[in-house]
Amino acid sequence: MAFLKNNQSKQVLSVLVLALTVAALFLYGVPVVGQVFNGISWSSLGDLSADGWVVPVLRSTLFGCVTVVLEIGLGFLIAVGMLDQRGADRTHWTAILLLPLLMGSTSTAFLFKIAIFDSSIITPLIQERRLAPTWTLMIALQLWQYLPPFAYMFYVRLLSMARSRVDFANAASLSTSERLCDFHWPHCRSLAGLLALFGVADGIHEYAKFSSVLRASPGTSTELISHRLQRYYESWRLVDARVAAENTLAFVAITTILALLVSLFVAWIVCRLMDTLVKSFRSASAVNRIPSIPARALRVFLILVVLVPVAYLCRYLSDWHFIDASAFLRSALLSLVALATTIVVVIPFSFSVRLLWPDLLRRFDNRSLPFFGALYALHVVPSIGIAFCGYYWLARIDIAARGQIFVILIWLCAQAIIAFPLLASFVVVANFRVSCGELGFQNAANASWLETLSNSFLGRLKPEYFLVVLFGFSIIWNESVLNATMSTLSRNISSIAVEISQRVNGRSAAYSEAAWTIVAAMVPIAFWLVLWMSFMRRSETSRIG
Amino acid sequence: MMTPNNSPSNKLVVILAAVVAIAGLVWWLARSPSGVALTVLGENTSTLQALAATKSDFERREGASINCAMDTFEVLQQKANQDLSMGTGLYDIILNVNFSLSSYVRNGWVLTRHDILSLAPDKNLWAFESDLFPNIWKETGYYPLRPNAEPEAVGYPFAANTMLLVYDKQLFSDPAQRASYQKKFGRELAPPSTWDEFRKIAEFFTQPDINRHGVVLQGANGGWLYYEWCNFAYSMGGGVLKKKYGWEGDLSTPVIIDSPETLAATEFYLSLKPFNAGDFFSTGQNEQGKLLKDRKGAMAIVWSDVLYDLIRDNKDVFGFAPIPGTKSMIGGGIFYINKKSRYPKVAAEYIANVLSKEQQVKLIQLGLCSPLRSAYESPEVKGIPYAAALKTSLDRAVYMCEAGPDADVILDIVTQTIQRIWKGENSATDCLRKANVDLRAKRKEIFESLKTP
Repeated sequence: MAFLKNNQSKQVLSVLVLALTVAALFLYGVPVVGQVFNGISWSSLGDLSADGWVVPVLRSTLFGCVTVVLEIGLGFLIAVGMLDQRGADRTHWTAILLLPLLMGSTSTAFLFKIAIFDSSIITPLIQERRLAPTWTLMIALQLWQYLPPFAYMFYVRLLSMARSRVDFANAASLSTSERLCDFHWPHCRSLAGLLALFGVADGIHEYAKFSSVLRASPGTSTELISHRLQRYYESWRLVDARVAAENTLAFVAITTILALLVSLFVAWIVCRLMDTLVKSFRSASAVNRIPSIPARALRVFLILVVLVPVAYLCRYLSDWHFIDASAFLRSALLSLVALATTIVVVIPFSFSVRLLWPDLLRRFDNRSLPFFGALYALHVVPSIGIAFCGYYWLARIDIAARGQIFVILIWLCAQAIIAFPLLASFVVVANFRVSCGELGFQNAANASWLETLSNSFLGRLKPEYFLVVLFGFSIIWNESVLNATMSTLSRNISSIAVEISQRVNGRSAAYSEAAWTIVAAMVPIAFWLVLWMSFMRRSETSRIG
Repeated sequence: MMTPNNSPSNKLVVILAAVVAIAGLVWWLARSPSGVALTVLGENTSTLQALAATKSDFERREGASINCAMDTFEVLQQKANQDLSMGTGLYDIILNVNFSLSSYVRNGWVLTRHDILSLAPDKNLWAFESDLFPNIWKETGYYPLRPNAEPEAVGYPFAANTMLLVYDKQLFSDPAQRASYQKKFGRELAPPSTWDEFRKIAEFFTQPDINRHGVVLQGANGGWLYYEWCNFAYSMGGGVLKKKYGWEGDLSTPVIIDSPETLAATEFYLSLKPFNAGDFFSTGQNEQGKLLKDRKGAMAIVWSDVLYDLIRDNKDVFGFAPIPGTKSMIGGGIFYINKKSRYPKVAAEYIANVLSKEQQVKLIQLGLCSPLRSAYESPEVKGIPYAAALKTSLDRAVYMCEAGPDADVILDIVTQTIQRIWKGENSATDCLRKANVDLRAKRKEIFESLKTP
């Protein structure tokens, strides 16, 4: 025990945790890494035809870039607008703004598919797939899914600003532009960088909304890279399924590299743009003359923007249809197990890297960017690539002889890998609140690895970690690509997202059943959300006093 | 300060208990069923739903359990491919369409008819063979087992699907509509038997001011547009490739996608644009069904295996007829028995049981489109609204859909081409010519890679 209290052994343990995590990730991803130098994918770079790869890549990249600029810019400004300067309002119910993100892409896609299908206004606008109305619609849908949650995350970040700074701003009667420039934006910049990274990735890898609403295809100039990957695999699987999988992985590798480079650059650009915009506010006196919308009214309006489309589901709830209850329960239990697996990896990893590099990882800046870039590189690997890596390892295990348990274990690994980058990033950012001084104090007090984790991190950052758990469950619960692919190998892997997808897009589609399944899928999400709101309410009570 | 509840040993106990609970949960989730358990994988349509509804007799008799795994078409392909290529033997019987024949047979993944008969040699079990629609069986279940050999039966059809004309019966029988049509065209309003009549009726019923259109076409990718367009193209003497069966073909097979007949058929298809309901590019089968049920379209060309769902809550709304012209499409597939199945004999016996006339009559009433001719003569089946049109269509059905290793590529190119024509990006002539060039290039790539070991 004395050995464990030694600071050096704390470092050793942290190195071990980091090394094991990296080794496990690298080992799992060997099939993708091994295909990086596959000639087929690189030689396709020159194909500019509509059936090539370049056009969908450009389309996806542009979509990701445009949407993330709006998500970050508008999200931040809306969050500022949501602030009650007196700090007297109860606002925990604004957590409802997280709902579009927590619902997942498949449910969101279904919501808007049925609303647009039933609409006699929108359908005529997009039925020719003209550029402006079609892409405006899809950008609007992407914004519906990401803008309210981003605004909420900025809002929570702003609420965490030190009370003394808020009091100073009020006492000094600082103008709107001064608050923006000197308080709000600097406090949110780290978060903006992180959200920009993930926003671009999710935009580039968008699949469900384009697939459900538009039936994305090259013939209508709406195909994105995720659709192109799937189409490639399906074209070649009849010829040779193994080669089809290998070549698909090769394209996964190249699109991952491209997406990584683009999104790091775009995230940097977005932050710079916001810096410039916010600075321009300082000199633009007109900003201070813009009539302020009452914060409460803005919050209510945003919540209505979120809830009204969700309420449209009610139209399809008249008939009671539900999926097999055991499949639903299995899906929920599997998701919880996958969540537990992920959290058990994410928290020690995030803690260990902070112990190893306390100064480097105390804020989001140019020095910590390589670390987040490395984490982010994992996020941009498409789910289908992660699924195919799972196949690669299962083929070597001979599951026919050894049993289904390995399918479940590989599935757990794959889900953990998909959720890992986002959750680890959020936890590392949350850990910024633990100062280097405090870590130094823990070292001086000879606190063990566990004691430091428990006292300085777990104890203090419960709300942030809980939010991470909430996101983690949502990511796993709503994940469809990996589930659809991996469920090919086991009867025991049920997925609520796949069940919804079948009822939306399958030949026996049943919209009523899909609507009920989505409502049921929202129950655990609502449960986590209520718990989160109770966290927020407790911290609000201490804030308002 | 350490309280008894926070002591390290208590935390350790909680952590250990959680680990044991999770391990137990994973084990429970991963356990396999005991006893003879057949897993049947298929697309989630009325076909497999009908099989699932009637399996209990066989289960009781044989002491086996049958699990029907129903998925979307895309997931079915992934599951089947992965299970067969990895030899995991998860699925004993796979109900798949005929373009899987080439891949499954070439790779030696499935049992052939010869293997199946060896497993269950009782000739009485297979008496239904002479009762199958011969054209359907030949198209969906035959393949050369060796290069340059004559095609042989690989398996038995699980269904005989085709596409039918579905029309709004209430509209067609409305006296005011009938009088108006008679006045305008000088003939009685009836389901069209020619394509020209089809267009006239589509135009007649198109009234955008009351949100009604004459036809509901499927323009979505994923096969919907392709299959529908093939009805027009092949029926009018055109098509994609010139051959007799979908599964045959090589590099020397003539490509006729830009022939004058195909061009004429495509231009005809395009001429229906003003009469079409809904968003063409996002209308697949489900959306088509919804538009029909919402009474927004007067006619549509619909797959036969969804008609059961269509009439379930709308018994007297729809009428059915063969598509205009003299040919219909062959669809459907066969029962593939996985070579890695642990119960191939039981699988063979199950298939024989399903294909008995008695079972087929029951299954038709639950939505199956039976591949047995005599099943359509039974009184129970004759009472089904679409049965007569279905039988007529199956009798005259021919190859229209691709089923070789190039099937997906052809589906893709045709879809893109017709979508571009519909969008007005280019003329039909130019687009079809380009499609010809693209098809040749892609087919060459595929067939040459097949030659390479």
